[in-house]
Amino acid sequence: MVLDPRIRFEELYRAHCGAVRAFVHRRAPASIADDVVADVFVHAWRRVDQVPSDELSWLLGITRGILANRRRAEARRTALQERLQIGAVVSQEAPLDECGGDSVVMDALATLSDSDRELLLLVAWDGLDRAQAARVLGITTSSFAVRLHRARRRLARALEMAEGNPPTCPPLLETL
Amino acid sequence: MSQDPLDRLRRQNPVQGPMAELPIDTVLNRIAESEGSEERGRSASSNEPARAWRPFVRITPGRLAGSLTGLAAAAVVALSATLGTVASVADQTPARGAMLTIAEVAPFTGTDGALGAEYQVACEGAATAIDQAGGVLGHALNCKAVDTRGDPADAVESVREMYAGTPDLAFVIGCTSDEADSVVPLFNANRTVSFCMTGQSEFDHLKLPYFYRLVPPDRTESYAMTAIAQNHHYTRVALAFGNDTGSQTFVGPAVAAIQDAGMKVVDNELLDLSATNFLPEAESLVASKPQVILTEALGHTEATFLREVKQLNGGKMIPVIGTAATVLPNWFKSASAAIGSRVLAGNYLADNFYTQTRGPAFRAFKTALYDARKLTKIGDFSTYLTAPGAVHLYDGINLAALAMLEARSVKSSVWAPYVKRICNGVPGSKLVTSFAQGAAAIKHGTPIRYVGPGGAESFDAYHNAAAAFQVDSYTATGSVKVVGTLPAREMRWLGLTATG
Repeated sequence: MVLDPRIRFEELYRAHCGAVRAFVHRRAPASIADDVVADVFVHAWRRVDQVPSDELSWLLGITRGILANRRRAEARRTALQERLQIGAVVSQEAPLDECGGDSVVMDALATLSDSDRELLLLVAWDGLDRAQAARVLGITTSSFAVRLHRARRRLARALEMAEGNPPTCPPLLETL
Repeated sequence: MSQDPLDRLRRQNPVQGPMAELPIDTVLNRIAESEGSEERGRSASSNEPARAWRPFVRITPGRLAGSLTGLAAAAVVALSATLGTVASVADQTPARGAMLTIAEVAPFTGTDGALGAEYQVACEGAATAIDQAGGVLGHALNCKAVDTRGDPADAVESVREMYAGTPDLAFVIGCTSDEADSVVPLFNANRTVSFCMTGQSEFDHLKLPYFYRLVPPDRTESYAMTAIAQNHHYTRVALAFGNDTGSQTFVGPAVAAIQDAGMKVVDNELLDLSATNFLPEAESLVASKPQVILTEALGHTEATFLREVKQLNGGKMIPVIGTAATVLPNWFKSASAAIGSRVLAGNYLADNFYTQTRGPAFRAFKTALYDARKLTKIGDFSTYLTAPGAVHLYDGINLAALAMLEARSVKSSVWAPYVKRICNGVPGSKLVTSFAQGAAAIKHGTPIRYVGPGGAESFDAYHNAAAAFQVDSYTATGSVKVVGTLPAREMRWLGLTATG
């Protein structure tokens, strides 16, 4: 049976919009987050006939790409505005509730590499299992497991280091 | 407090669980906006229920692939007319301060995926340098990857998505031989200036006002390979090229050039990139007793094929002359693993597009690339300093940005003609080697000629760049060294004319 692509898209949207939105809000300022979510689903619509069985991982993979493009653009825009002294119109706001109670763990997280952070957050914040998270990153499950193990160990080590230092609230946007 | 770091991290989750969904109309309206131009072309007699959005008319990969087989120059024009325009944005004037996006339309995945990374580095480097010099008429530049997967049909779909999702598109770079014949007509129809890395003969004599190519036509690269072979006094030449579009474009011109130069083609093998072994092809090639192999087969194909050739030739390697696309770290890595790095270093030469390795233009390029490292985080940057794709696309971006300054407009129909003027120069032009230098001269009303790290180039009436070649080889550790140059006059001496 060939499903009408519009119906297929609406089902996809209803099933996963909330999860995609949460994923974006965890990583981007609220002022642009919903715009990013809309972009994700515009991309999804264009490929609605190619949606794999693991729909969420596929959508989150698209989301990562869009967020990466935004970050690069934002970095350059900020740099130019500083040079041109146009005045900052770039939002300085951070993701929701960036300074929670356990800022030590966020300090420790900030010391890790981008890839380590992403591995940990996919599991800890987005609640993905290893197979799903591996698909988001485009790697095998076993490779993910190995990298997660290492990232976890590095986070533990960073936590040990951070416990000795006064906790500060990190600018989360810079760390993600 | 739990000692499990993941548990502690979980408790810091700023958004617990999924959020409420956005009103779907927000997304549907976005889709409808992005597909507006195609929607206008649809029949009003549709029986579909009225909605705020509808699927657009898609060109399926299968349909397009069929139409692209054996595409010739006339077909490129025909395809342009058939596909028509999509949402045209490059010819609009963005508001001052808005970002201008450079789209890198190239393979980022698949067999030729390394090309996309190389182009991305060039884009980030050039854009960073331009932004540091004040931007373009109040605009900062942004680079956006558009993955064609090296497939002409997929490329059309990706380009349609690019148009739909890039309201601030300024121009396009990349467009390799893998996808150029399917996407260049789209760019031109939409007045999007493109700086392409294709040498395909289809474009040799096509008048496309928004198309520029920064590499010489493939046939001249085939001539360069032939010239290298002749300089080494080889007379029996075998060809082994991959079955992808990009590699196959070399075969016809190479056969003609070898014969024109008085040498003999003793074997011509087509290597299926999806195959896992090439014993029949290797056997046939070795049996033809060539003195040299002219080749381009990307991915793991080349490595497997060369290993089999060496084995079947009694453990002795037959010398190889590769195209510019074989001068890549990944190619060296796989080929040296197959036949040994010393053997490869002793038996390999390649033609390559000339690039500078010193001087003010090279220093500006090097600075720009290293400044951009934090944005891309791709591979070993030093390898890109001599990568022709990175060098020439960096030049293309500088040419485009300077053309905008000279034209005092970011509207493509206004600035596009200035690209040739700045590249070729006019009487009394001041020579500049970086965007910053060029911008300063333009500010004082001085006409400029830009000569970047790709050397002095000039566009002909069809916007083909005429440039020299260099001869590269590898060291045993994989470093690329330039062992000679091939000016156009040398190829003419060989009876191989480099111009149409």
